Amino acid sequence: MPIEMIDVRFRYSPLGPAVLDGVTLTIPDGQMIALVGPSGSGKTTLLQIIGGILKPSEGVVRCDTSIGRMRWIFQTPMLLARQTVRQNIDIAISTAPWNARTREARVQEMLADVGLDGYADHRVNTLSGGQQQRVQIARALACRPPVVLADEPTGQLDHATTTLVMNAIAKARGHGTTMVIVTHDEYVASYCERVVRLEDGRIHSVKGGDAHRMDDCDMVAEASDE
Amino acid sequence: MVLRQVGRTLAAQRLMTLLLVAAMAVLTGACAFLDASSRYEIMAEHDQAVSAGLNVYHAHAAGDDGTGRISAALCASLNTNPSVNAAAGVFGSRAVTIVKAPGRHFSYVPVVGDITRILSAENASDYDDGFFIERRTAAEIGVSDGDNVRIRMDDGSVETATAHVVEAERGFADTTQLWSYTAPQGSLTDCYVEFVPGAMTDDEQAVGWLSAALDDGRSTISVTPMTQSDAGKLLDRYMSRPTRFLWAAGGALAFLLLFLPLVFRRHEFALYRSLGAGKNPTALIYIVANTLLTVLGHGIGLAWAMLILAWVQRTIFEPTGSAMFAMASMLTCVTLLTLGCVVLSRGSMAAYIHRQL
Repeated sequence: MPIEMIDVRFRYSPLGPAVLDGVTLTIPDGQMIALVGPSGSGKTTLLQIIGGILKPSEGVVRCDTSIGRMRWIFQTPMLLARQTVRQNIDIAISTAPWNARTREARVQEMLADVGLDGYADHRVNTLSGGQQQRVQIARALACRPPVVLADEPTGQLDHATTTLVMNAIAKARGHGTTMVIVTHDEYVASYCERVVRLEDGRIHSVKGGDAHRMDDCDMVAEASDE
Repeated sequence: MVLRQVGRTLAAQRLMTLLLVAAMAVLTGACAFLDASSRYEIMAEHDQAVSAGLNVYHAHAAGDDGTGRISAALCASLNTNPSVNAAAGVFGSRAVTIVKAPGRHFSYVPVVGDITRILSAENASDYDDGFFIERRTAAEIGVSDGDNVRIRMDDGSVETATAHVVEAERGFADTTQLWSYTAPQGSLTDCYVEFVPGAMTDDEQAVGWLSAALDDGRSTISVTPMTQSDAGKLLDRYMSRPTRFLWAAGGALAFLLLFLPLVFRRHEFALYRSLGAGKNPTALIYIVANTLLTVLGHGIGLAWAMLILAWVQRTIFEPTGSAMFAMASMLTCVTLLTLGCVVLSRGSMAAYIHRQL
C-alpha cells in the first residue's frame, strides 16, 4: 500500500507557525523520492510524520508499515562503534527468521553492494565517515525493509564519497523498498525517481514519477503556473 | 539474538569490562570482609564463652520486689560439695562510681563463695578483701592489680578498697561490675555453680541437682546452663551487629557501578529498538551482560575477602555466612539492574530518532 498524506498540517505549538501547511502527497510502493527545499521548508518534519515520529496537527497520513518496521539512515552514522561491521549489520537481521549461514550471506551481499567487501571484521570506529555511512546504509537495507527514511545521508560527505554512497543506496535498495530521502543536494536528488520540492511548508513542485499519475500538488503547481 | 549480542557487547569493551569486574570485586570483597570479620569476632567470642561456660550453671530466684530468694548460706556451702568445683552467689548490686574514672558508672556487687573461679576457670585468687574488677575494664580506667581505689557509693559516701584484677570470660559480659566478698547471710538473687567435669551426666541432671540443693521450700528457683544465656546474648549481638546491612549497601554500590555507564550509553537501547528489536529483548541484552559481570565480580570479591580473612585470623572461617552475604548482595544488584534496564529500554525510540534528525 502506498504512503498517503492528505492535507497534512503541522505546528509545534497551537499558536506557533505552520511548519507544514497542507501537504498532499502519495508515495507509491517501491519508489525512491527526494524531499528537497531550503532550510526551514519542512522537509525533515514531513519525514518524521511519514516515519510516525510526529503526529500531524491536521490531515491524514496512511501508511501500512509500522514504525518498528521502518529503517532510518541518519546524517551522522549511528553505529555501535566498538563492534565490527559484520556485527552492526547482523543486529538488523537478527530478528529475521534466518539461520546463521543465511545471515552471513546477506551480510556479505550487503557489503558487496555498498563497496565494503573485506571490511566485515573491521571495527566501525576504524572506518572513515563515508565508510561508516555505507555501513549504516547496508544495515538499514539488510533486512529488506518496506520503507527506508534517510535524512541528509550525504550531508557531511564530499562529492566523491557522496557518489559512492548514492550508488550504494541505488544498488542495495533492490525492488520493493520505498525510500524517502531528505536532501538539499540536487545531485543526490537526481538519483531519485521523483523529486518533491517544499517551500514554506507546502509542496512547490514535483518532478518525475509516474507520468500517468498526478498528485494534487502537481495540479496545484500547474494551476499556479497558469 | 540476545546471547549473541550479550557476547558482542561485552567483547566490544573488554577493557571497560575488566575494570568494572575489578572494581566490583574490590568493593564487594571489602564489604564481605567487614561483614565476615564482625561475624568472626562474635562467633569466636561465642565459642570461647561456650567452652568456658561448660559445667557452669546459673540459678536465679527473685521476688516481685527484686529481692533475692536463694539462701546465701546454702549457695556458699556448695563449695564443700565434692561434685562442685566452685560456687558463688550474688546479692543485688549498688550503683557506684570510681573517683579516678569520672563519668563511668559501675555496679558494686556483694558476693559470697568463690567468685573468681566462677568468673574464669583460669583465676586463682585467695583474696577476700577489696574488690575484683575485670581486666579490660581495669586497663581502660587505669587501675592495676593491688591499687587502692576510692569508690563513691550510691549514698554519697566514699570508700577505699584494694583492686584485684581478674579475667571474666564466662558470659559476665557486663564488665562494669565490681565484685566484693561479703558474709554468707541473707538471700541471694543468683547462685553460680561450676561442677567437676563428669560429675553430672547432662544438663538435665545438673539442673535437677542444683535446684534440689538450693531449694529451701520458699521459692521457685530457675536453673539454666551458663552457655544458654551466653548464646542468647551473643545471638542478640550477632543480629544487631552494625554490618548486618552491608549486603544491601554492597549490592547497591555494585549496581551504581554497572548502571551509571549504561545511562551514558542509553542511546544504544534506542538504537537496538530502531533496528527492530523489542523493548524486552533489548533490556535483556544488558540485564544478562551485567548479571554476568555481577556474578564474576562478587565471586572474585568473595574469594579475596576470604583469603585475607584467613590470613588475618590464621584460620579458615566458615564460608556459608559469607556465601549468603554474597548471594544477597548479588540479588540486590541484579534486581536493581533489571529495573534500571527495563526503564532504559522503555525510553522513547521516537524521541531518540527525533534527536538524530
